[in-house]
Amino acid sequence: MPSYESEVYKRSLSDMQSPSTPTKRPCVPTIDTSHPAEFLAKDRSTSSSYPTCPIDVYNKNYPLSCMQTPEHLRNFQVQLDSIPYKFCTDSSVSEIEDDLAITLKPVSNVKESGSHHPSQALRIVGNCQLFPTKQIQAPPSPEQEEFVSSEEGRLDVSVPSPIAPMELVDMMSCYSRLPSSLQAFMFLKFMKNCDRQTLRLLNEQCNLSLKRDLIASLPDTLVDKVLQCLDIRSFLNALLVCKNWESIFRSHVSFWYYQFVKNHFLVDKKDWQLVFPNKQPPPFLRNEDIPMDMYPCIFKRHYLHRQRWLRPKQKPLRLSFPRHVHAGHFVTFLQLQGDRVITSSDDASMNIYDVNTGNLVVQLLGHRGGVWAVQVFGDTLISGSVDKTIRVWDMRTGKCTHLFRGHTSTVRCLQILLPVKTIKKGRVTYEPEFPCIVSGSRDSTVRIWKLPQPNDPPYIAPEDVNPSVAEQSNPYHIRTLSGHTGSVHSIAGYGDILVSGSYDFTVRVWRASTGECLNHFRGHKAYIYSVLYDPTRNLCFSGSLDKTIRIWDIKNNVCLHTLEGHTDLVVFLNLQADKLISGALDSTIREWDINSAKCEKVLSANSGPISCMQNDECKVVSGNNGSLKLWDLRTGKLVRTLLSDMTIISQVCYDETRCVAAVQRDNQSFIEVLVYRDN
Amino acid sequence: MSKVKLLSSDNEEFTVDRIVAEKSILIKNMLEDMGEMNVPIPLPNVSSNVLRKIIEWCEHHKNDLYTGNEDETEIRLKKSTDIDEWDQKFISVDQEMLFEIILASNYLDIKPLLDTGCKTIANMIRGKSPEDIRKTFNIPNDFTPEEEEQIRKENEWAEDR
Repeated sequence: MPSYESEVYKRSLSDMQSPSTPTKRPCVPTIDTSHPAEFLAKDRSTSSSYPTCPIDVYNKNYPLSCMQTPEHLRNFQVQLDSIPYKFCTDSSVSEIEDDLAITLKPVSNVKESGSHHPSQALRIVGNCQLFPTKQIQAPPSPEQEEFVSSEEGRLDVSVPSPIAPMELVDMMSCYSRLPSSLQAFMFLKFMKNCDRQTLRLLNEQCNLSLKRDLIASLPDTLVDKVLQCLDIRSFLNALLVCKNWESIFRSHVSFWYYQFVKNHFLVDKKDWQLVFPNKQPPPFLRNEDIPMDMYPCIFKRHYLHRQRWLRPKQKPLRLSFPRHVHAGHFVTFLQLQGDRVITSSDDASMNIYDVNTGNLVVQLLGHRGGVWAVQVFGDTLISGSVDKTIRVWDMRTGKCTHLFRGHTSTVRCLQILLPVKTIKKGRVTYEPEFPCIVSGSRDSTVRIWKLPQPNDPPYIAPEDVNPSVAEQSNPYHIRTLSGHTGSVHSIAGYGDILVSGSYDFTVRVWRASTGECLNHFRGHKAYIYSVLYDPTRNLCFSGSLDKTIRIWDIKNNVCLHTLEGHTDLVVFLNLQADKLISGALDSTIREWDINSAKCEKVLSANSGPISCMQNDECKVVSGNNGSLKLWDLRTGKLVRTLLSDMTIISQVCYDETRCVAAVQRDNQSFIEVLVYRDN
Repeated sequence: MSKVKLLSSDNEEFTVDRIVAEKSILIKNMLEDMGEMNVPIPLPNVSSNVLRKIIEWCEHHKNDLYTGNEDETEIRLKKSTDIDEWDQKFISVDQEMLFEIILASNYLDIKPLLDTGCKTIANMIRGKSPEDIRKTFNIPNDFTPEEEEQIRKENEWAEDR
């Protein structure tokens, strides 16, 4: 602010113009008992024959004059003719305080150096150089009355002054050469000589000068801490401050990571694919699995997703279309894959619809019994049926390309195992070596099959031969895992590990590549309906008709926890980071902390068994008693009922914007589609 | 109660109770490693005026429970904005001093004070318009209106719904 400076400067010049005015400079102290010490000080300075200070330092109007000289000044040292001097320690504080004359004593001892350096009394004169008192400054030359300031040309003031203008320039340059501690001292002296108007200007200028671009000046780790205290809106607002801030804020991607965690978001497979398009994700992703720099983008996706569902601005579009099933049957599988709505029924039908129009796209015809298990992989669909067969379909054409026989009873569950990169003995290998289908059956066995590749020739196992013979000649059959003594109802797996839950009340863990049974977990007292496998923690989870959920430690071959609370069969299990979400026929959904084994939330749907559910980190969509409900998983509260007055809601699934449910109403089966849009 | 001497960067010596000095984890560790010390502990990164201020804070908080072992992120997530009343008054200083206090508390490893400092800066930004922030920190705007518009557009997704 040049205006401030020049004003201060002008004022200071005009002050110096009249140094001899008695009102401004009371050379002879009048009695002022309020400041005895300072008068004493002045007395001493004059009596020790120091030349009088040309700058008035006796103006007592300002509180500043009472300011104490900083400690460090008393320790200040200077070099004179290469001899170090320090402020005379025995000189009183007030002497330094109230006069610009300073006594210096040599630091070095007389005896050591051999020569005696006398104490130096110094004074500071108008042009502000340090002189020993003996050298008296030459009086300012009277000719130099025209003062034209600095190179910057800010000031062009013609001042008749007893102080030579060049001395002022010297004063500035001298001042800037002083060590900072002495500069501070000098400046305090100047300030004491200011009037209130100047002080006010100084004060304003000081406040402005003390402002600091704190964000730009702090080290990165501390900026990080500051940003963690900000909310999203404030953070985004601050991008608009200036270009430097924009780039600093954008570089702190950890802000978005913290926001992500703070919002209880959890990365999903879609995030994974964004980062590792060609890598098989583990079944339960954790936030650490995704690199930090992806979070600005990932956060936005999750945030918008949550807003869209939990705080929509407008009602969702609704589309219903009939999905015919035979009387007494219902939809056993429903999945949304892109625009495909894939359905199967226990009446043996499998239909694929277009989610936007409700048009039937293709029918997969062939099963002779109800379809209970379906898996989808790209354009390939695998189905398992009461007819004991596993069929592989091309969804584009609706043709069955492969048919496997071998199971001697209903195929109850299916799982696709995709190759996972692992390093064994320093060598990169894949487990399994190629994509596999794993099937669990009411015949108590688990079978592993090679997943046909899109260009493989068709293979239909002959119908009229003995299943075990058919299996032996089937190039896709890899092995059969025997051990269970009851129907295998649920399978989970990743890499080389398979977990199966059975009606024989036990859970088995298998090594897929050898068929070896690694663990045989006993403890449940009734049928097991659902299993999960978490390779990261090497745990598996099982939900049972005995109303409990058990957490099993695979490595140590023990049951870690039995989660009790549900009052009926636990059908649905899902893992979200450290939380296990379970849905049961007792009409509740519960959230458990897997480390403490405590039930943390109970989502109570009042009445009717939970017939279907899907959840993510923020929400649960569940069907019970003819209504489809949306829950906020963070609060455990019901957000709203999406559909009501249905007879049965048998299946539900959703993606980012659409929720699809298979329902029965008015004695007919329908597919209901709800579409949430932004804005 | 045993005393500890601290020496600021500008050679001013401060004598404080050990319990006060140990609010600084740096000093606490130093004392634990070296035992009783008669010589002052040099703090070459802290000037006397800042050290005086920091000692004032440590004096006030000397009986607070030490929470150094808690999970940091947990604490951060729990309370991101609130500063207690005394601290608020304490930290009402010019920006230069605030800056120095933050650097010094980071160097001395006084987490609660560092948090207070960082929160104070965050409070200067939170809920403020870009223009207000610029005024607060004396920053000139170097965006063209077009650039500003571009960023505003990019940020629209987070508008309140």
